[in-house]
Amino acid sequence: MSAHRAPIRRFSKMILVYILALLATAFFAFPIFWMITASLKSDQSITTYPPVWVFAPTLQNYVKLVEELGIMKMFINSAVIVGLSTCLAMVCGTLAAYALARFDIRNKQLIAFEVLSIRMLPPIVSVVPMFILARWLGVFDTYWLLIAAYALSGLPFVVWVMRVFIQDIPQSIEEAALIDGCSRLEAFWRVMLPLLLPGLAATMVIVFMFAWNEFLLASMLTSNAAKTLPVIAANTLNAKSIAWGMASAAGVIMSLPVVVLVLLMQRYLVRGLTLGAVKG
Amino acid sequence: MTDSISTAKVGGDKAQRAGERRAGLLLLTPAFVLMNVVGFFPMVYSLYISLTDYNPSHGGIARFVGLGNYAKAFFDLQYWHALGLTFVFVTLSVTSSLILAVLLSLLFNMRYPGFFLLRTIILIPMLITPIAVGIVWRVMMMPDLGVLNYILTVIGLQPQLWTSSSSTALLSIVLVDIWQWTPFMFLIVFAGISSLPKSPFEAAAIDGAGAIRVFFSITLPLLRPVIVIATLLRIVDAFRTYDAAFIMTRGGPDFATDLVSVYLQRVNFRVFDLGYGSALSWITLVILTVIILIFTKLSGFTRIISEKEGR
Amino acid sequence: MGIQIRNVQKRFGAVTVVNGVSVDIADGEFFVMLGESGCGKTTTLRMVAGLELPTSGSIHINGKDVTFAEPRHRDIAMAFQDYGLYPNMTVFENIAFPLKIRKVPQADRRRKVEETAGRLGIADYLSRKPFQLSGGQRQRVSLARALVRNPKVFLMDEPLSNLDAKLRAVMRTEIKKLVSDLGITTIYVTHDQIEAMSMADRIAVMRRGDMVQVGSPLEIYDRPLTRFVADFMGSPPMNLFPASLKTPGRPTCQIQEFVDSIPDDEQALIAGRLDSTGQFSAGIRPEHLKLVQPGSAGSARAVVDFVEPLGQTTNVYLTAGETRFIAVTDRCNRQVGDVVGVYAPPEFVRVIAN
Repeated sequence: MSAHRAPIRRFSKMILVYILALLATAFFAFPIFWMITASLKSDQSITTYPPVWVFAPTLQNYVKLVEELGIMKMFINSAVIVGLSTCLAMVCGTLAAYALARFDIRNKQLIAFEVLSIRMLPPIVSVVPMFILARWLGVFDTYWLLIAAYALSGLPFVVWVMRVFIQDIPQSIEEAALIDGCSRLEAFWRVMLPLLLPGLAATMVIVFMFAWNEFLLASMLTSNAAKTLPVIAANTLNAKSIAWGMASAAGVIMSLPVVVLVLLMQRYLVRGLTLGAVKG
Repeated sequence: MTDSISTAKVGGDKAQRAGERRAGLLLLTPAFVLMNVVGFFPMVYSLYISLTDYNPSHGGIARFVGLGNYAKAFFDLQYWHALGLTFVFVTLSVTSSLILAVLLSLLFNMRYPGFFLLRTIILIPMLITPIAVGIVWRVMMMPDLGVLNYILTVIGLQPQLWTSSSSTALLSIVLVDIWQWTPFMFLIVFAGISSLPKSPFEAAAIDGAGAIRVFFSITLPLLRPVIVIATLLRIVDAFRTYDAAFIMTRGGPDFATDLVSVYLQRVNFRVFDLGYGSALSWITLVILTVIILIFTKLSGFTRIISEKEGR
Repeated sequence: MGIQIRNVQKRFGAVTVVNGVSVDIADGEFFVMLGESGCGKTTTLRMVAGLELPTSGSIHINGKDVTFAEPRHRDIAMAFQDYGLYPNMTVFENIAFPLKIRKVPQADRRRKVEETAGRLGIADYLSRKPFQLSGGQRQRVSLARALVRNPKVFLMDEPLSNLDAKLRAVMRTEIKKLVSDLGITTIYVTHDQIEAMSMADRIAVMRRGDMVQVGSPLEIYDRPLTRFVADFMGSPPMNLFPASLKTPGRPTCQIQEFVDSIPDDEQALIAGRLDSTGQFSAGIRPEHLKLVQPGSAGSARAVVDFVEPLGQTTNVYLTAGETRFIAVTDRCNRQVGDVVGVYAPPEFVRVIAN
């Protein structure tokens, strides 16, 4: 009897699991779907009720973003600022991570936790002194200010994640290189670096993501010349008539690079996001 | 005794050469400069500002007022209201997304065909720029034209006012926060679940433990370190939530979503009361630090980290 | 020529890991440093390699002072416990790496790599990556990488300890043969006394940062200076009996019969090996004890506690009064509870410092 029923029970359990999984996915996917379709709708069809599901897609929102708001400039701003700050954080952070992983330094643990404390610092707290100092130094609304700020906020990720990646490479590999005739620098360059590349790329994507998506500092520390994408996207809602289509299009443009990059580098995502504490 | 100490030492830092103590410090220098010049120096400066009445819109002359700003903050009901709201927001959002994440992890741990794809799709919300998240949810939550109310009507429920009513506004931005950050928790908890050892579960099966029993006495305790880490990171980030709230409500209606960061932004950049704003910032920072310390103490976070360090 | 280690000391903070070690290693010698983990053997090796710097003392390799030289300027090769292979390179690239760094022309490189790989029997795996190899093959690759540039000195840090017992025995003979054919001066670190015995020209037994005894394998086996060395070498280890010298020329021992007729030259050693309380140990290897009729001349009475037949030999666990010890005999049919006489041939009884 029960032997007869078992497959049926297993089958209905599977159906149930699939339904739950699809419902969950739908909950998380629907707003994204809605954003993409809204960006392809004309302003009239966005504000029709009940909502239209079938419509003639148009790129006019994207065209308007480029032509009326000059979004290309913000895109370049974002790319330059985020790109340079990511590189800066990667270089400073990886050097520090190497030192913390391989050298005998006094108060190592303390230094590591000092770096970690930056991760805890809310930007709304640091933005005021940065604002005052930036005006005073004349770097307000320049690339440099945001580059420095984003490099700083990326630093704890790089230091902690890269430290774990470096510790994961057996010391003996590096020592073998020293014995085989490399200097310390050559050993790092020729042996360690190739092994660290996946980790570096994964960390870089995460630092990039947080800087690319950052809004608070960007909106307070720029006024015009160094505006980034999130700021201009927020501004589309500031206008007297709210341009939903353009706002959605800006949302798509902003989110696309991060989504693509992160999904490509999914393998080390967990490790990166937890600053090396959890293995993915 | 001495033997074991010396082995530990040898195992740890093997690669020391003449002058390399200096090399180590040299490698730390760029990070150190960045940290202090961009990080700690402005914070110390902000401590100084908080003792003045600096306000650039009043001519920008800073008069020293001692602890005046802090005294003023003590009686600033608006600030304490914002702080209270933030507590409610963080608690609701973090707890719900944690529970959701654990449930999702259990569900997706069944590993049926196609689940990898669904899991990847579920990740996407955390990658979307928070400003864009605010925009799309604001579109969807429009009370008369929004798709959410349409869906509610279709399935026979009452349409809601969402962010337009002070009674549902906070819950609405909590919902958005859950939507965006449950994937983050899910990703980490799922990684934890997938790397659990098999043997305790096999032992439990042999002992005849039921599914719920297994979950509470094996799965959850084993997942604890992972959950603690994910929760800590989430608390830190939820506390600073600004972008979506700024886009969706600006603290309204009737200050129902006036989170600390929104309130601080208003004090600092609408009124430009920077001296007072700095004092509030410092109070907030101290409170956040205390919360984190309490959490790390209660959850054994430090022990988890030092176990990892010691491996 | 060879390697001279002079008064080398290494401290990590307050902990002294190597405590003034001095030893001369001859050209072409196979020198083994033996000891438990944390005894300072690996640190000593790493100082010779230049991966660690001595706190004081000096190291000369082939007449050159290399105490503070970088590893690459020492003309040494090294094999690591975990092999230290470059995981992203193929076997060929791994072996060729030291040549590449030294800018050996490509054609020469290929020839040398193939030659060395052939000698170590890994010529078929040259295009594989390390993770596709078994432990034994990986160790061969690491040996090939070390040997490919004809180093003067070869340092090995427990190279066999990650292999299973059978493979370990094979590799032992292979390594020994390889380096003695090539005539390379070798320092080999291990905690395995069988490895040390079977491979070494000379063994240094280390303990707590000191070289307790340096000598040929048989010297160390036959004439251990201290209890530690006696206990460390041989399996089952040497039987050690507390003894003292109250009246000159008449040592007393727990089992008095064993020390009654110690030869004169061994007797003469006692004075030098007494500890501060006038105690020493009388030692005898289990295989030298003879089981005889109870009560026969010069024998001690003992009861059989436990019998462990090993096929060729038998371990017999014995108790005499309060004292427990082991005898290794040929195959025998002693039973638990048997009363036997135990005879220790005087020429095999050793005077050992505590």
